[in-house]
Amino acid sequence: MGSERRRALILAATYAVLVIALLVGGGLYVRTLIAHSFQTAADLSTTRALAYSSLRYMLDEETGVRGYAATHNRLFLQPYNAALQPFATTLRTLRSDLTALENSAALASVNDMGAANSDYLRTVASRLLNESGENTEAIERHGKNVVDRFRADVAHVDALLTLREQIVNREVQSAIDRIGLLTGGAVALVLLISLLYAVQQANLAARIERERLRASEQRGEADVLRAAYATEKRIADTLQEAFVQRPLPTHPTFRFSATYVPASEEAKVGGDWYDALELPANRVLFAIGDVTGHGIEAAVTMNRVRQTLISSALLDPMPAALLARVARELYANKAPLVTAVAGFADAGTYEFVYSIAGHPPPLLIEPGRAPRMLDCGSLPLGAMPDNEYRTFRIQSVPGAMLVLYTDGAIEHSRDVIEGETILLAAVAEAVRLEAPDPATFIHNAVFAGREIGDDVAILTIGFAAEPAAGVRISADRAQAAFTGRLGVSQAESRASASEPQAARWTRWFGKKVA
Amino acid sequence: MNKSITVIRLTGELEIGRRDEIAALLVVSGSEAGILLDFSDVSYADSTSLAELLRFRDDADKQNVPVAIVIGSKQFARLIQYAGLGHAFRIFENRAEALMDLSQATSA
Amino acid sequence: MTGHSELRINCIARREAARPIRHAVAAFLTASGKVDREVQDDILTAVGEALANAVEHAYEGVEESEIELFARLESNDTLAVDVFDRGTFISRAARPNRGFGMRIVEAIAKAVTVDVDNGTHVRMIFTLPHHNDRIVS
Repeated sequence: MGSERRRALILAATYAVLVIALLVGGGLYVRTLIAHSFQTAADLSTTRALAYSSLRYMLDEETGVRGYAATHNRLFLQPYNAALQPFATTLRTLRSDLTALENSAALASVNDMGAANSDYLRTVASRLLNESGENTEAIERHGKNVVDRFRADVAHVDALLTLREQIVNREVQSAIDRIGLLTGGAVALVLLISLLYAVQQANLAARIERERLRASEQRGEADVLRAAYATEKRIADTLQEAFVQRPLPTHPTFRFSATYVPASEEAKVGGDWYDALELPANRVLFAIGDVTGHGIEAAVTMNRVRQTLISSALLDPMPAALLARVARELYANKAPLVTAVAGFADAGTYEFVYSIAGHPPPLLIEPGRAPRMLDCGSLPLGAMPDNEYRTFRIQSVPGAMLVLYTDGAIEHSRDVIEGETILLAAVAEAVRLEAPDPATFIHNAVFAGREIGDDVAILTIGFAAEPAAGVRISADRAQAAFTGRLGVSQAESRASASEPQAARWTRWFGKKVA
Repeated sequence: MNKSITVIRLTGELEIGRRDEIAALLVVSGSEAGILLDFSDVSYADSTSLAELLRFRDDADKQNVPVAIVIGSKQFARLIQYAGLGHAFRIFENRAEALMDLSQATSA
Repeated sequence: MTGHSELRINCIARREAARPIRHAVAAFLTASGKVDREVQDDILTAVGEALANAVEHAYEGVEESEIELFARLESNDTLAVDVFDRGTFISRAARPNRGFGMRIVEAIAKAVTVDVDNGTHVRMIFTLPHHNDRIVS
């Protein structure tokens, strides 16, 4: 702002200087012009005086000569004698003045005056003075004509000088007029510039006001957004708390453990959840899931999914059907994508029956065997309009444990294989040490000295090591088989037989950077 | 078992300009024992191709044909991750691993 | 470096146009020297989705539609990309893939806005990590 001010001042100063220079220059010009014309006027009147002086001298000469001619007394010649020299001087001066004035017409007249005077001296004065006895009257008459001629020349010179004076006066007048115009113009210019400046200032003020208004509007908008966000967060928190986390079931044959750690306090309205619900006939429903995003939409979606799963589980024994129902609803409502595992554990038959929707594969640990990853490879809920899911059935044994988790537990490091390996190791360790709370143990083992980037939920469902009385297990080696939609079971095994299933992903993923 | 594993190989960029071509290539006849989708030379893919892939996988599922995918580009892998389909497909780094998985899936 | 650099492309909407336009954006980003390879891949994925969106219905309107892309790299390491599609807007209800495209863009970009007034206008803002933060792979 300082430099703009300076610029304006410099501009104003320049204008002022220009105007002053204009006025001063004009004034000087006028003064010079006027002085010149005064000089000229003075010259002209001097010259005019000289012309009439010369006439007086001429007349003096005539008077002297005529007086002598009448009286023959040399005393009466005195004017004539006295005038001779001054006349010559005057005429010389007159000539030079008119030459300086560049008035050739007047000069011609003056030359004629000189000629007339010479003529008079020669043809009149000398004859009369010589007393030649000639006809005095005729000579005097001739003399009068010459003097008249002289007089006419003087009048002519006078007229020419007057004319010249008039011209000079006119020039001065017009110069004065021009100066007047220039001054008027300069004044008008100054007024105009001041007006423009005033207008510019007014515009600037208006613009500043507009900017101020806009800034306060934007502040207002920001406040509105902040308030809206605060409201949304409050609502989401309320929804979250409204769906009270059900306590894990207690049952002689089942062992449950679970942890849930959201990514941050802000994301307390997280996208992960787990549920375990006791059902009639020694069965239990288990579910774990991950809703994309956070905030109200995610919280609402999560609640809806959990409600649907739980209410349908009471009626429908097929996890695939449960997930399909949820999927249709989500797709219809254009809800965020949800990945999930849902299933049942049967304490009477030691079976796990489950279905997966785009979720990381559950881990199964059976006594005497390394932990293994079960099959996966399906679409999240809500991705397609009419997706169908598979039900997997695993015949397991007492002491077995199924570990469900969300991908925060394996995608904490850049390398997902590494994440899965770490998880498998943590699970194996939990089993080896017979940790009473495997979920917490696993969580701590995985994240020892590690940052938690995403929500992490872990749920474990285990069968007690001692079988309940009267239960027979059909096989002592777990075999996974899947049940097709039409209820026809196929013997194809999709789960890997022995080795921990190497994860399918390799070093693709890094931190999301944009 | 007389069925064999079919390999469908696509290369270059799988983007909307080639949608019809891709749709014509990704078809399941039902007579395959398993299908290997070889995308190891695919440098770029977009969601329209992803949609074709999902449709293809859906068809294969309906006919009980297992599918394994080989992906060679980070961009393609990240695309799938960003779409939320991180655990939806069986994806491998190279043909050998994919074939091993398919043969396990197809053997009784 | 001060100021900004920008890229502007305008053409008739055709499905085959998405790829060359995306390559032009790639060239623009590479030329700027400010974008790591991985970040560039992600940005091109998002831009590719917006372009695919814009050209998808190119043949379904009555008249030819026009698409315009405007990419602007600011000196504060922000990239803004606008994709305009000024065609007759057809409802997407029938599409079975449910717009994975938008999901992908939202996962990658820092901010996305969509305007459906007189065609579709998608604006994506990406932040570029500073060169000091080297992503160790």
